[in-house]
Amino acid sequence: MRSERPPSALGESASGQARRLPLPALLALLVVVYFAAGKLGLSLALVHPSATPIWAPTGIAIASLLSLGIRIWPVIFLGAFLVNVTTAGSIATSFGIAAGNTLEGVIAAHLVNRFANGTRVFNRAQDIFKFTLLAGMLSTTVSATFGVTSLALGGVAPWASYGPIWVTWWLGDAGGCLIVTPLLIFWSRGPWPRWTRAQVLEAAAMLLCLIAVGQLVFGTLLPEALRYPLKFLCIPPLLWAAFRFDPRVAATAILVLTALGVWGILGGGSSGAVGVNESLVLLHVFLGVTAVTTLALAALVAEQRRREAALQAASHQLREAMTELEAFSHSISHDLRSPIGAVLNYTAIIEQDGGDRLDDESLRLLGRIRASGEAAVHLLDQLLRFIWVEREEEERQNVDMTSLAREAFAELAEGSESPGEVEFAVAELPAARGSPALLLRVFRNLFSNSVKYTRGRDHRRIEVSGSNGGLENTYVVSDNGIGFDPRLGETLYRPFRRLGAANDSEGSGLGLAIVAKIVRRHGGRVWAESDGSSGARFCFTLPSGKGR
Amino acid sequence: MSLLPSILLVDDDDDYLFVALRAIERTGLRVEVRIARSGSEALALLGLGSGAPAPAAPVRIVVVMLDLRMPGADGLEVLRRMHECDRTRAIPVVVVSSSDRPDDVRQSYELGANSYVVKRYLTGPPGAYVAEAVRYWIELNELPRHPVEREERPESFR
Repeated sequence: MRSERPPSALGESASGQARRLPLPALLALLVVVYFAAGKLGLSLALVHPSATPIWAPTGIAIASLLSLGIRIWPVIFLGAFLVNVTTAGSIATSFGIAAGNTLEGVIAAHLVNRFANGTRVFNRAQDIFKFTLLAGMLSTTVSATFGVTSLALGGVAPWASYGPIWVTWWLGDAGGCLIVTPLLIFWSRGPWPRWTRAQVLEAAAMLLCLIAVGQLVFGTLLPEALRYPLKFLCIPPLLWAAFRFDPRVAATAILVLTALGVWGILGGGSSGAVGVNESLVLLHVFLGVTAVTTLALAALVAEQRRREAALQAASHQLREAMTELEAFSHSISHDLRSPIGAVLNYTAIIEQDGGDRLDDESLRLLGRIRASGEAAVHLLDQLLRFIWVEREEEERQNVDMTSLAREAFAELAEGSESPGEVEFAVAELPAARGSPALLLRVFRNLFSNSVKYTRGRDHRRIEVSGSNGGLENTYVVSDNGIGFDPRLGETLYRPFRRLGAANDSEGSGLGLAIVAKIVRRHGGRVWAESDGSSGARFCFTLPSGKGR
Repeated sequence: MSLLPSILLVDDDDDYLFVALRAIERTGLRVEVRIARSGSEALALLGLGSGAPAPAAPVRIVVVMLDLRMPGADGLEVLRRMHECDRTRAIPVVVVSSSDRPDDVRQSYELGANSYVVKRYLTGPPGAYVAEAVRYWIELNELPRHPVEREERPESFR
């Protein structure tokens, strides 16, 4: 069967620049193609001159009615009528058959438009299954019934062989529908894929493999004695097409296989015990089923690829938005810092220069202004630091975490927020791999947090311990402070999440968020444990370094 | 020509200028303070203004306290231009910025800044950090006696 020529001619004409063909020319071309495909199919008719196991026109009709609209049905009717009136039977039988063929296409197109996403039917697996049922199996019964009944009524076929002819007719149409429709729909739609050299080579290899398998399965390549039913061998090359290429290539591969199969059977291969007609019918059923499976798979693969691309695009957009947002918060924080700083400065100047002229109430209020201003500047500074964790690119190195913890506590003790009486104990900590400057900040923020929440407790104590877990070390900063509600867990590490009311404890609400951000940037995890009353444990993991 | 050495405060923020000026006055240092509210004003005062000739009697600016973010010519531009000119290359420049962005710090030093101070509001009396920086450059640090003398000791401030 060489019926792939006419369909691809239509395919090209319906796509790309040829789509701008005037509609009448396109329709005339459609009649010619339909007629040629029909004649080719009928040349294989064995049970009856008008009933063939290979009927590509069904696919041509459904594809054109789907993409050009159901209103073009007269063209299909004309094509079908011409095929039949020039083959066998009277004008009346040809009229009946053509009516059946046309109705089949119209019903199929209508059902697909209604229930299976129209011309996009082959994009999704579930639509492909609907297509198989509605167009492939249901609408084709109309054509078989109209056709065979017309033949019987016209006396061209005996009523006795109604059954076998009907089945052949139905399966021929179904096969044509399942194999040809997707092919035409795919090839009539742009954009055509642009293949790289490697892809072209791979496609050639796939085609060669397909032809070899086709020959092996359907052809006369093997000696008679070795001709086993090897049809399952067709699956791997079709999977190749579906997985490595796209649904368009998969549909084409099925057509190639169909051509090889028909050619092989007519050449005497693989027929075995059953007759040629039965072989063709079986081949068609086999290929129809294979086509549906392969196309569904190809659609799934394509869907997956589309999703991946969409996901990638989304993540790219997200990254850009994040960068923008960070730049925005950075400049806002900066711009706010100066005016609030000015408020602080003027307050301090008034307190300094005019302090003796002010009454106690004014001085108290000035103190409140200064405290608020200081809190705001502190918050902005923390916010800026939080934002810049992302930007600071520092070389990863082995970090002596024990010394780092001591250094961080010493800094805290010397700094503005004096910790007061706190017992500080560091166990020998395993070395980590990371940025010393950032990890110092982790300890500093955790200690500052512990200092804050142990305030007012007896025998305040902060302990640091660590354990080596192979690739990853765990570090724990524990205190005997007020602890937290164990249900809060990791939410503590979210920005602006604070225990208690805003006035309960000083701080910006960003300390732990910065810890989490730094640790995560090192590829580690953070979590926190507390029983809700006797202290808290703040834990984090870091990649192991060499040394202690 | 003024007898006193001058320092040049460059910033577009009046609040900062007020506080810095007040703090410098309180140090009792014998310096004259010049103020430029933009990069272009600073360049003009340094005799580097585009087209405009240098002042007939150029002030003897010994230290520049320079903000980075300003409309028009920004701090980095001032640094670049000062560094391009033989007469101004040796004048110490202290960047006083609200930014602690690693990029800003690195670029400033690369363009020849001698020091980088982040504006602070939480420690010490208002503006004290500016005054302290000025005191360091005027009192502790040996300054070139006249910009022209640079030729004799070219690398001293690089």
